[in-house]
Amino acid sequence: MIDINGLAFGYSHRKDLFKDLNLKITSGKIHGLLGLNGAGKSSLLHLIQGLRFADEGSIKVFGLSPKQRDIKHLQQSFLLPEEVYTPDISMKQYIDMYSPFYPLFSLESFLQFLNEFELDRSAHLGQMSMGQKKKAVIAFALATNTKILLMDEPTNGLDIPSKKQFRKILSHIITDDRTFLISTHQIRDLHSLIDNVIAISNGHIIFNQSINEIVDSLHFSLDGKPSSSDDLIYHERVPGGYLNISPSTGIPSFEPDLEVLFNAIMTNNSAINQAF
Amino acid sequence: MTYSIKRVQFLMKNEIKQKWRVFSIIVAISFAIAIFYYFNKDFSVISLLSPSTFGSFSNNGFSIFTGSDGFKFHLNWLPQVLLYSSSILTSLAFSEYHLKESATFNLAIPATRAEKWSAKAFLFIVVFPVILILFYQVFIWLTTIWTTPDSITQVKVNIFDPYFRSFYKDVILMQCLMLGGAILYKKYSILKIVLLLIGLYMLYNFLTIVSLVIINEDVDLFGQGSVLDLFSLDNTINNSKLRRSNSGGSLMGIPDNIFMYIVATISILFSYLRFKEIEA
Repeated sequence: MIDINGLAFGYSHRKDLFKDLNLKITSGKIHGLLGLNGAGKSSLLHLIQGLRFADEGSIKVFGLSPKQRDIKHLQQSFLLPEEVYTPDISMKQYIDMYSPFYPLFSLESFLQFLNEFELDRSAHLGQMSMGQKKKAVIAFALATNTKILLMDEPTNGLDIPSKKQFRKILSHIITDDRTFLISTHQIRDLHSLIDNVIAISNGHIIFNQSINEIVDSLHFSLDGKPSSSDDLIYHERVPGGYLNISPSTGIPSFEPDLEVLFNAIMTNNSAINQAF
Repeated sequence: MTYSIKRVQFLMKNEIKQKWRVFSIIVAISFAIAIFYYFNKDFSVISLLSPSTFGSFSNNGFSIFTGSDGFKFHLNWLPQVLLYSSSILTSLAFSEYHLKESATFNLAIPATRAEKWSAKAFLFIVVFPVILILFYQVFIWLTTIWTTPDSITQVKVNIFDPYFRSFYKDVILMQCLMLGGAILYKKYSILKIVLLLIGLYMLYNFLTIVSLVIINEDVDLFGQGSVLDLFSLDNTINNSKLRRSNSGGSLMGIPDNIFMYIVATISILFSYLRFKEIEA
């Protein structure tokens, strides 16, 4: 669905953000894109959507180059940015103006999502708070029924009930022919949703594994102290003790804590990848 | 290449729905300034009209001064209001692509680059000037109604008069130039475009003078008006002086407006090519 090969990109000629970045994203999954500030998560989403152009390498989405901004690509891919832009118009006008561009847009779904986010369908976007605007745009994005949904920090600015609703909706609408790629720092907001973890650092994809593979390959245990095992890959103090990560031994493990896993990937990447 | 007229129509409608407030304010201010001068007794139109213009509108049955003491009809308001307000509007044509959030939103709208650009071009080069021309006709009707009955019989102006045609052409050419500048400059685009045009025009005048000297040995580079012509924005004066100094013939053999047509064509092409490459 998304195929990136040898991607190089930078905002200045002197410093590359990505160098020879390779990534394949398959359909039917919710992918979590993790990385430190400035690692290039948002830029990667922009490149996939065709809003930025690669310096080198190729990006193919449905076999098309996003740079061409082909209609077939744009109709099947929606980017939800971290800071949403909404024209100063009513919600009804917004639908009238932009839904015709998306052939699979469902008004029924949109109204349902608005209802779940407790938004008034007759409200004016210009009079909404940032959080409300974000919920309105999320509802629109989900209702477009695009095959690819790129989301940049979607839970930033959402209140707690809305985060819950967002998770619920997302888990219901994912299908085998759709792909959601979510860039987030708020991994705890979405950890129950994510099927595949992608981590980006220093211009490369440094980790790309499904939750099933993580469960099969890594062992998460909560102890009163850091494990003294030679196999220990990473440990971190958490409420209730220390969460230790080591290669899987077949013993039932704690549910993977993606925040701790991310810290492990950042500090001991080679050992983590060797476990797979 | 996929091109859908329906999507272009949607894009144009969306543009109007999104920007109608800003556009209305600009047009209202332009017309307010026009009305201010329209009823200003001390304002003289004569300085704004070239001698050739007097002949044109006299032949077409216009009159500058009406029978009403306080009322003057300033014929050049139409091109001025049209030119200034259209140019300001067009300078804002790509404003949403110069801000990150709105650029992200607009670039991601499922329409081809050709559709998005042509919607802008048609709207700002054709639709808005036509709407402004129609506004101006309404403005003329209203002002003649507000003035004394005596003046109504004397002011015979309508927007389809041949006198205005050259102005319409200039307005459209100017919008082509503005469209290129609107995509090039993020801030103060209208100011920068005007400065760029002045620079280009000076360059054109300079090249004209140099070519005249090269082609015609009897033209004196430092003769009457030549040096000043380099800085002149008045094409008529410029060329007439040069012609006079060389026994009345056209030295260049190139129509006066060719420069504008070339620059407008380049500008239109540039705006499309630049739009294709715009990033968020």
